[in-house]
Amino acid sequence: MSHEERALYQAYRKKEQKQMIIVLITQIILLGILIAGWEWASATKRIDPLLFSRPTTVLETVQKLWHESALARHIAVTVAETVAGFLLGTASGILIATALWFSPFLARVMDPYLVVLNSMPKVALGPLFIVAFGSGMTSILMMALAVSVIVTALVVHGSFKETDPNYIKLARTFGASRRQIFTTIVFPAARPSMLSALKVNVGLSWIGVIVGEFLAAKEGLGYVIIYGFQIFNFNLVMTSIVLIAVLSAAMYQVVAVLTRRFER
Amino acid sequence: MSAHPPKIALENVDLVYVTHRGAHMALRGVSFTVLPGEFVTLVGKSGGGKSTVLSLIAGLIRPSRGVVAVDGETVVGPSSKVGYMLQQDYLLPWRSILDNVLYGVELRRRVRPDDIDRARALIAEVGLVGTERRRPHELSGGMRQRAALVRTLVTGADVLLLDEPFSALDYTTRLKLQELLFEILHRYHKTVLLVTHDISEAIALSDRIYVLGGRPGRIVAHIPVPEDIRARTPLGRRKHPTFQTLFDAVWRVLEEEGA
Repeated sequence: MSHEERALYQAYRKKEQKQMIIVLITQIILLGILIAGWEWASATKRIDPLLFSRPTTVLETVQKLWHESALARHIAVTVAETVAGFLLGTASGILIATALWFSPFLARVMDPYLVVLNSMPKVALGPLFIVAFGSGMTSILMMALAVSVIVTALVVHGSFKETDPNYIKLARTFGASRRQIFTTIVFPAARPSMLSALKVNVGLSWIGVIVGEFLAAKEGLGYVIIYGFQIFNFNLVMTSIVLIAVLSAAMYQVVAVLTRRFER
Repeated sequence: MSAHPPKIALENVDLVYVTHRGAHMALRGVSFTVLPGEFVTLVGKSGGGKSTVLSLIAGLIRPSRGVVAVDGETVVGPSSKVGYMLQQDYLLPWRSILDNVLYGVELRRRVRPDDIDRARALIAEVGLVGTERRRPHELSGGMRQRAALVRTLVTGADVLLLDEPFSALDYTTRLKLQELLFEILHRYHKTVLLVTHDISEAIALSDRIYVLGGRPGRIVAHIPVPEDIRARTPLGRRKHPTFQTLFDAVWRVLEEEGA
């Protein structure tokens, strides 16, 4: 870069950074307004503080639960279930997609079943899971798995099928077997769609785990919500919701950062 | 002819494509031969079945009737004797240039140190030294197509099928790559079958030209390139006084056939 080009580039970078800072500040202010608004509305009884709690009470509840040592346990259980469910769902989805790619016959036979399973709300299966796997961790994991596995299989199989046929032709001219075509062309070419499935599945696993905990758990943040609801302690409910929001956002960020490292 | 058994031979080949919309005849009664070390071009318009001929020789598809043979043996599937260069480079974006170049070897057997040495030597020969660790997207179109050429050569194939390998390049890059390809393929005594719609490309590169007429594809003319033109390199041929005459002759055949 010449001197002039560098100066222009730096000016451009400066402007971009300024924009970013303005956006960030606005986001923080907006969050502050929302929290302050919640606190104010609750303090002045514009919303029922008994039902909707208030930020200061949520903080107190977090502290209290933490000292009673139960909170760390609830968080750990839910996070572990979500991570396990999301890895299980993604891995099984990719495995099913692989099987479907290797057997177009199987893919054609399974097509209507997958479509029905995909459009059906998986949480409706909750009671069946409890009957089949017992009221506990297994049912919750199965719920998390069920929520993400079908859509992963469909999306990943779709991207397997969309591999540029010219790459496959290239491999065939070198005498590649179907297995070699899969491992050297189809699978690596579908990597972007598998990585984005990973990101989507973080959110889906949270749905599966929280609903699973509603139905079958004795611990975890979903259990805290239901428990708080049953004993009419909405501080517990709101606290749990806030924690879930923070944790799921954090987990999404971790996965986003990890997947970025695998893109190229 | 009998002195040299043909490297490539097609005998009365028909090819019918069957899809869910129906059957359609792509080739009818196609016969021709390519002798060892020859550079032969199949000229015809787009969609005339040119690529189909290459797919048959590469063993990707089987003829509906007739025989396709390489080295006197009927083609039953892809073979390491035959290398195929596609219209675009189709380098795998997630592999380095060196790993791309070795891709064909890797599919057939474990890559040995001497394969890597051979790959590096060929990379140097086509002027790509220093790009071994780069990814394809960091290279220009001409460089990428040269890497694709190396990928085809490294497997040791002595029959090369070229499917309009210059069509995606800009004009000057195309002429330079033709010069390089011509020189290398002659040095290694490769037998080459090129398909193209570009008449001047056909004359600039080949010893003989077959014209493929359209729908269904069949050979409608055989035009040898005269010795005095063939003595030159591609760029030199384009400046030869009778280059244009030959161009017009091929042009007329293509027009008459409505090919």
